[in-house]
Amino acid sequence: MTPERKQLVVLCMVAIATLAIPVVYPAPYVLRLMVLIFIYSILSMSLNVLAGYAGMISLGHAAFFGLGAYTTAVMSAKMGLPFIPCFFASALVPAVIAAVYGAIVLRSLRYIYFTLASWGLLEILNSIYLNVSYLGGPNGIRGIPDIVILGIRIGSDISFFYFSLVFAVLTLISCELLILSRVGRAWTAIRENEVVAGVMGIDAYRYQLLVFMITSCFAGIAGSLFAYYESFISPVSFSVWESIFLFCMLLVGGRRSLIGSVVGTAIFVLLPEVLRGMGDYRMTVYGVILLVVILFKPTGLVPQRYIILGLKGA
Amino acid sequence: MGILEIKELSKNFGGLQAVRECSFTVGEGQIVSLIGPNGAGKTTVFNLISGIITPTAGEISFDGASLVGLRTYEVAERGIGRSFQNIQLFNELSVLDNVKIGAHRLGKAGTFSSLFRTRSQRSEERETSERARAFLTFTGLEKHEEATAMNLAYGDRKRVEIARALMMEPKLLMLDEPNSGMNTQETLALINLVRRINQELKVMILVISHHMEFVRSLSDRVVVLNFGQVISSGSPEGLVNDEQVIEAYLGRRSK
Repeated sequence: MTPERKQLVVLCMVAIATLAIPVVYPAPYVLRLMVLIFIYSILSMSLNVLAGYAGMISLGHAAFFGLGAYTTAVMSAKMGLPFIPCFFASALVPAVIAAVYGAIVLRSLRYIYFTLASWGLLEILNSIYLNVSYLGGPNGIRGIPDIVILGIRIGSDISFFYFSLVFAVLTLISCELLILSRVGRAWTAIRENEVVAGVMGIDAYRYQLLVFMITSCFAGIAGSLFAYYESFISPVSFSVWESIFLFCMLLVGGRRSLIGSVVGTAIFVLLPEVLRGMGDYRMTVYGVILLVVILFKPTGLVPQRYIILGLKGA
Repeated sequence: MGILEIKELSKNFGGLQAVRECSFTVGEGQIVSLIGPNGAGKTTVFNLISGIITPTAGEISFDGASLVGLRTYEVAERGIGRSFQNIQLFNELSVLDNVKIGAHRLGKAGTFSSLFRTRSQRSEERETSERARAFLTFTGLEKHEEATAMNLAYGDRKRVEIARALMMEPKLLMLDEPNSGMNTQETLALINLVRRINQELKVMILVISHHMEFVRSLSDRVVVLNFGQVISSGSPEGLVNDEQVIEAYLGRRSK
């Protein structure tokens, strides 16, 4: 069996197992964890494109996640708008904010300076959530209704399981298609050497702005799903620690592999449950896991690019 | 058309005049060599043309339009490709991907056509791969297609750089010491390759080299730099007897 065929078989088995979970083991607790894995996978995969492939270490990913969640919360709970407009706005608003902020910041800032600037954006947004009374301050916004599309209510855990799975899979495929395209090659070239990328005819500013917008859009989608699922959101879910947590998922899973991102996400969503009895000591376990992986498997648990759907270019 | 013209080009780094009122041209179909002792400012001239640094004074024009003040990617869009003295490949990528990146300026596929894998995106992608493989064969690297760039031998990496630059379909190719660190046999193969690029692909070439045999057998014209100034230029045969050139390399003749 060729390695690619083997990958495909493993992938199919995982897919069937995943699809069967709600049928075989429909405990709300299990389904809830799975939904969180799907939503956070959208975040970690898009961060992987931004940081792992395009080399832009952004601490602002949780900010765009929050922006999507707050857009949904305001439009659905406060204005009573239906799912479709809420969802599209939640994807669009982060992309627009990323475009504006990126246009200012990316002209001059690179590497650690970009990282700090992205953190700055996160803190600006967080202080808005905390201090604007319309947004509920530290109490956040509650009463976000269930998703209703075409008369179908996505209210139960089982329906939300499949609903969020669809978006996680679409994110995986979209990110993979982008990485393998001319656009993705330009991102990698900029990451590897910006000067040489320029000599090859790649406008680094334009492509960095593009990847910043696209990945923020994905983060916004994750935020919208998160808000609908939890029906309540507050600023704590979008702090800089969330961004750092996403990086832990990335580093442990594999920073050049989208499947790795999903694996890393699963580990960091499930660990708190496994380590529940340990209380605050579980942070120590996270630290140890992170250290061990970085020391012994610096490229992450899934180091190699998983080639899915045979999309290997031509 | 198809002419690189450099007029009174100067570049100062603080108090250091790296390039001083340097003028020369590269004409249609020509191979011009830029030679001179270490620190003469040859690579600085390349970096000025590429737009990596901007000149203090002077003019660079290509195909009749000025390149001064353009960004690196804009210079590339005009059809100028180059290699680097200290090899600058995308080390973590495969040889094939390295070469494919060279095709960037010719491609059109954007975010949406890539997401939906439109017909035009797929045919562009197929064509890019085919051309990349053709240039790998042209440069004798077809065996290394899947290898990671940083794992190749030194001479092979030099040729990947050339293949990557050729993917841009440049009108002018600038090679910065392409034969450094190569043995005689490899150098002869490279001379042959550069000649084929010039004649079969109709690319003008500006090349920096320290290797006299390389310079003599390839160049239509040689420009000699010393302390940032053009001290001589002409046919390769004439220069060997030029007093100023001998002085630059070896010092003044004792009387």
